[in-house]
Amino acid sequence: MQRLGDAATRMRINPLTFFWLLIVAILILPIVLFLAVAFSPKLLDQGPEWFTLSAFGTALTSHLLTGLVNSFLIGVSTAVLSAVIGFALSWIVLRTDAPARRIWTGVVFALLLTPSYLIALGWERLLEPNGVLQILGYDAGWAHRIFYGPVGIVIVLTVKGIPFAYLAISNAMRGLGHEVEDAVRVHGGGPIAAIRVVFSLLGPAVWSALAIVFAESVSDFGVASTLANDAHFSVATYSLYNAVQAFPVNFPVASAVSWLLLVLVVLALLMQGWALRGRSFRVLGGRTRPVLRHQLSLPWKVMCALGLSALLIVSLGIPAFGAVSASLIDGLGSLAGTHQWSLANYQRVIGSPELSQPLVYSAQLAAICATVTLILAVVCARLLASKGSTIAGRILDLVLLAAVALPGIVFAAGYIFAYNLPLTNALGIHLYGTTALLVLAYLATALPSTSRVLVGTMSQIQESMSEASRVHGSGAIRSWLTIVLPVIARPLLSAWLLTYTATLLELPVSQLLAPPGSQPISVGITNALGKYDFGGGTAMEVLAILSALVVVGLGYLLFRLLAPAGWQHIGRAR
Amino acid sequence: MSTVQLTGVDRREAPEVPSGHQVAVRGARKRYGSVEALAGVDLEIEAGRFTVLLGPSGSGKSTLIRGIAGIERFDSGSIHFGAVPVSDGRRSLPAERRDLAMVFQDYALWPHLTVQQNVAYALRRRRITASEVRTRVFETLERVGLDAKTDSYPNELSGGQQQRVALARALVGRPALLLFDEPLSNLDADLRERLRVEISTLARESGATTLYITHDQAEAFALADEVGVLRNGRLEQRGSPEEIFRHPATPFVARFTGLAGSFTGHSVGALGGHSRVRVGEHELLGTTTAAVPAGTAVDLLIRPTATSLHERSRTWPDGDAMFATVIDVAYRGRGYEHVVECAYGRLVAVFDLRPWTRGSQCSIRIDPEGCMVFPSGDSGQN
Repeated sequence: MQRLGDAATRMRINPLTFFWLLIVAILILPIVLFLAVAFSPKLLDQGPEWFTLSAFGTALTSHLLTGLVNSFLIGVSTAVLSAVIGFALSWIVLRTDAPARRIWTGVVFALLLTPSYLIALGWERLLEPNGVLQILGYDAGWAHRIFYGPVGIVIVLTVKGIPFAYLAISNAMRGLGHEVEDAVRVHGGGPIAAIRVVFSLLGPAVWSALAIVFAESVSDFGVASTLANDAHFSVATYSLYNAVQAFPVNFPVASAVSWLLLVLVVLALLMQGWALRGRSFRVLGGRTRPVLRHQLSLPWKVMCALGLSALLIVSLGIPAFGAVSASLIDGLGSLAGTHQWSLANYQRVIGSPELSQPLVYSAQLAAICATVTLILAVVCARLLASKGSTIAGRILDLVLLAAVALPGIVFAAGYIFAYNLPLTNALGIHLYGTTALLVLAYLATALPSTSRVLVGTMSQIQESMSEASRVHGSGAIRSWLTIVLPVIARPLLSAWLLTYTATLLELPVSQLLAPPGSQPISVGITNALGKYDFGGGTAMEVLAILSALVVVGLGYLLFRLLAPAGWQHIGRAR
Repeated sequence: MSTVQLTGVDRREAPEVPSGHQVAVRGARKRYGSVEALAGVDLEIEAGRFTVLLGPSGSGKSTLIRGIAGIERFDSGSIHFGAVPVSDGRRSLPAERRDLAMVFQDYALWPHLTVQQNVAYALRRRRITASEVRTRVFETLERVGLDAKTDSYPNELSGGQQQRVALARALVGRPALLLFDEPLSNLDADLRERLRVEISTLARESGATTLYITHDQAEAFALADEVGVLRNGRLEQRGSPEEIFRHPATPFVARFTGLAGSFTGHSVGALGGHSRVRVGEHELLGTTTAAVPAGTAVDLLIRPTATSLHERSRTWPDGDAMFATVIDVAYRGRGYEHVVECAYGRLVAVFDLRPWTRGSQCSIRIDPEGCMVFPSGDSGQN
């Protein structure tokens, strides 16, 4: 009996210890070591000084400073534009009877999942010299001149920012019943006063939108490495990439640039906190009733329809058309080939291992990463959602929040640094340059957001459901499998598919950590494009997206066909 | 600590008419951080009895029932079911091996299972055939009036129906111990009364030992063979509903089981079996658990049933009657409840068959049998 008791204690401690070790190894240590080197190169064998600020001196001069200032200005413009458009979109979709408003939930999620480099690449294929438009006989020179620079970068990043702004603002707007406006009117305020009240109640959401979009924009690497690089427009994330890729590598400067990027992100979040001080998000009572939609007059309906169509075209239509049309033109980007419409690029991609291998490689890594992430994310979400916040729970919460705010490129640079240290090698950890390290880095980038997605689900599970199962005769494992798993099956599937798709198309970590001889799909695409194989690169892009859509479709189809009726009933009930 | 063997309560082939567990909890203690939820509770429940634990929120009743269920572990103390040790503070038999069933406050139905599957789940631990399972599930659902809803999912049922499913799930396995964790508190008044009757009859029919917790004294008195009153993690009093109501051991028990109000005064000796209390110009009588020396400051706690309203007599003073003014009146179906103000304080729930208008002058009489005398100091407030 005593032995059994001891075994039970060990069982309780061991898995969590392992879990924490993993969190430290993949989330905390690489980043902390990398950020420390900006101040203390000697500590990690990267220079003679124990403490110095010289790396910051370098980071704040010449082109590095330009990059930082550019990133800041781009971030501010993008945040303001996204918030304005996100507000208008929320209002039209939630508060009016504008036509086709229902498709926007789908559009927003499509935008959320589409990496920024794919949007930028679609635009580029259309507008570049000898691009699709020129082959079709249009002179797009003027558009090329405008788009290749800050304007184009702001357009693409705004398109990526709109879903964040929309989700932040629409959630608040959805909860804000009409009675708030009614109360103003009943107590003597005019329509203007009513709008003022609504605006101030939505203030927190608008600030959130601004902060999130700003942080996302300055952290972005996809546009930095494609459009901004092609337009010779310097931004901070690409400076960081160069500092890590250049020879000899200057880790202290890369670390200092990361610090400055982090300062920008943290400042945005602090600004949000400061703007919200003393104000509560919880203006929304449980008793708020659905609002009546404004009946738009015909001219307004037409204007809304035109505006929404324009947004759809700019955000998804043009990039999709750019990619698909470019992939169908033989020899685009080179002087060779017929420049005729054909499926030659696809035949080439499917036929040549060099072009098809990256997709297979990425699909395998994405599947592994999604599966492991899901398991860890369930543990994280369970810890975060459990009643009564423990110290461990609070630390985990903080680590995951910080990791969400950390730019992907900083993550990747931290990995390169930490797993290439002499110390790491001396410890017998030889992960640098292996697929295993790439998977660990994918895991680290995916875990924070997947955990956040699952916290909502896990905190909705009533403790008493599994208690009832135990009381009525099932052991702990059987209770979990028969009661908890069915209830969370659909959110788990969604989280897996989300992680799979995001990992499949991930760029910054892939770019910096791809092992020699293996290319993830995003690196394969950018490499093909770098060799002016525009047709081949875009065909790979289209195939990658189609494959992701097939996996998503297949996932839900299998759930529908194989999951017991009760499991599916829960999805319908929610 | 004795080295007990926690072998589990094996009744996989449950008898047709089960015999209930005899439950013995000794020295149960439990802390949550700085809060002491249970401060050493001893509780014995005879086999087959219906016991209700009554207490305000935070009194430890939920912790106690969850510990007995095996969902939580006490820091120290032991639980025995009959001669079988179930928990000794260090080791604890998991819930699934205790041969019990529980009805939860939030129903805790499993949303992915139909009514029938929810109920059948509790039979998995019994070695019985599929056809027997079907028969028993249907019989039990029939008894709770849900035989027409076997294929519905929980979210397609009303609150009352959901709690009936939870009741059927608890009964179907014929467990030796039935636990009820405030099962009626989420239901409206009418439904609560109907389900209370069903719980009372079905639990007794099942032959199981029943432990039921609630913060509602009316519910406790209506259901229980025996009531235990909990306060701040301690068992304050145990006894039949009548004993608890007529002879509360402490001012807290008296207040928690319903008062019209209380007056302060001082003891002036005994009269027959009663204590005499001087309150202002009046001398009132009340029962007491221990003799109170003359001159002691006391509280006189008054049950609503001890109060009656009368027209003011022309002569003053009129024995133990006191002048009062009607503050409020509320219609209660079988009559009216009044709030009245007299020189010594306010009394609520003063019943009369006819309504007295607000502001009218009256006199109230107080029956000594419904008055309890306690030395001042313990307010009894929780």
